[in-house]
Amino acid sequence: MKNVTIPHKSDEPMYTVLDPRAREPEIEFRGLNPRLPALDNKKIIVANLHGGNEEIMESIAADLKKAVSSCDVVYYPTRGRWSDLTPEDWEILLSGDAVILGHNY
Amino acid sequence: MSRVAALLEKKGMPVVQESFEDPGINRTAKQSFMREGVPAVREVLTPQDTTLKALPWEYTRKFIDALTRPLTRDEMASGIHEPPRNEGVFMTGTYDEVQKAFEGELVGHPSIGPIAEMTDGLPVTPPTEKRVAEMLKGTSHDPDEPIVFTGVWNSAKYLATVRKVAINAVMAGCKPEYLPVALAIAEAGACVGYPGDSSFGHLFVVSGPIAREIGMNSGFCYLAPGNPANMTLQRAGALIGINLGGAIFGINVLERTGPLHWGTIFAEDKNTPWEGLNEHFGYKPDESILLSWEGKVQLVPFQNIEVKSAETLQENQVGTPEHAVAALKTLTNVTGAILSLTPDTACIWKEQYGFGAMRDLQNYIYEHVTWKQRVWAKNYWLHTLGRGRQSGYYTGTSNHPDRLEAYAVDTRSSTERLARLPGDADVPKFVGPGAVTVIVAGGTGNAWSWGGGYGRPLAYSIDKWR
Repeated sequence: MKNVTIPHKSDEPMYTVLDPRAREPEIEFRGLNPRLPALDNKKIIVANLHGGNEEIMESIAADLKKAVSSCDVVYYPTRGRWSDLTPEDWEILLSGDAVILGHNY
Repeated sequence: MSRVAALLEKKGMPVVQESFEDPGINRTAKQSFMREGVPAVREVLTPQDTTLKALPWEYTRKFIDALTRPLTRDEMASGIHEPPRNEGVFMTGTYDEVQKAFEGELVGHPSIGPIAEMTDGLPVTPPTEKRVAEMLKGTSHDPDEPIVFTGVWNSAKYLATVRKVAINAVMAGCKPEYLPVALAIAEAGACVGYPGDSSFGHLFVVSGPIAREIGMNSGFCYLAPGNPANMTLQRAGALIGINLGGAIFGINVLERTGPLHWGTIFAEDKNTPWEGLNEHFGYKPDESILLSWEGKVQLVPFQNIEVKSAETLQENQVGTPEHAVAALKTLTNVTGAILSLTPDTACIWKEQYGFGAMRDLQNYIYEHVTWKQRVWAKNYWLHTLGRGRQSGYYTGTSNHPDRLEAYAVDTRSSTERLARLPGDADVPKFVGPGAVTVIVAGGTGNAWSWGGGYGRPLAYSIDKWR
């Protein structure tokens, strides 16, 4: 919300109040990496980060393989959870051409 | 999870994130993407139905599309995101106009109705420059000194100052002499909330001389309304969480039922038969500290939920250590215990049961509150949700690098040991005796309350903020 001054319509006391909110720092952001032209012969990691419906990510991997048979789909349940991944997790997540991640929650 | 998605993009990997279709969850994810500097991470939103074994076929098409559809100009864009600075005067208006402006646009999650943007939903004291200047007399610190948030959402990187805490303390109705406590609450992370669980909250206890100096309630009705210091400091914690921690209920605070405590604060009674909590946590008896629990935390008042039948009047009023054990055994998803005894009850327990030191009672509770190994081994919270790896330290310790030992998991509770035991073995529920916090508070006479939390609370100096 922008700083605003609302014109008063009565003789009530007026209050000039300070902004109670913190601010976030400036953030340098970047665009996404180019998408794949197609999934044929590509390696897609489907990562389950746990904490939700444990079966869904595995089913996503299976369905993807059915849809694109030449695609190398790797279902990977991470050793770590959420944002707390292990070095091995990172190595595997970076070993393919693209990643689908989630935990269905 | 959103952070991992953004980091993968930063490392050059095309990513698609699967997430529940919910306006709150989705807005929270977008906040995280921006914070990590990759705001356009692609998502496929899926039905909120945890009974599904597979998604309908159309979702496979959506994943393929998200992996292969060429990027738009917006998705390729890079630059600098400049959030509003939120400095100086917010507005000028009548009392009602000020309230309305702080309520903001009242846009909340569809399921919960309008949610105020800058208040807890109640009218606030207008934070005029004069009132804030008066509040700042409660501390010797520079108004522009930054406050470092060490709470659950410390990755949010909100930039706050002593002045901003004072503004929120004014809004909450605090008096200047309360400000050091409000600043300690802010340092502890305040009531920043959690992005997705059912009952996470915040509980604070003050130990040391400042409790009496500012008139905090440590006696009768210490959990009830009426005491200005307790009530306004609780409210300050909530407002600081909203305005300085970025908590938006129903958007990035998505607790499906909500917590028992949202900044509940009370004082330890000075008539404890043991050392004060300030000493227990490594401070001097004349130092004032704030103990902070965050996440799963509950303190159930006496006689509200009893789990072991009393056979005599004394048992009914004073309880026994066995009653406490029976009550605490009902906890399944916490790693620590909270036991609150009135001063009279604490004295009786000390004399009748031989708990000469607080440590003796902690050890008793730790050793007797057990469950079967087979139950421990199958607990979803501990294992599937990743809370089961009990080794090393069991709570945040960054504010006490010199006191790590107090937060070490007892070797008897280590996952490595428990995993080797037979299924019928009795194994401790808590991560160590230090994770049993004994509070002496309450009115004259006998009563006790019980509850649990994540391990041992963190302690913050209040005196450093005087």
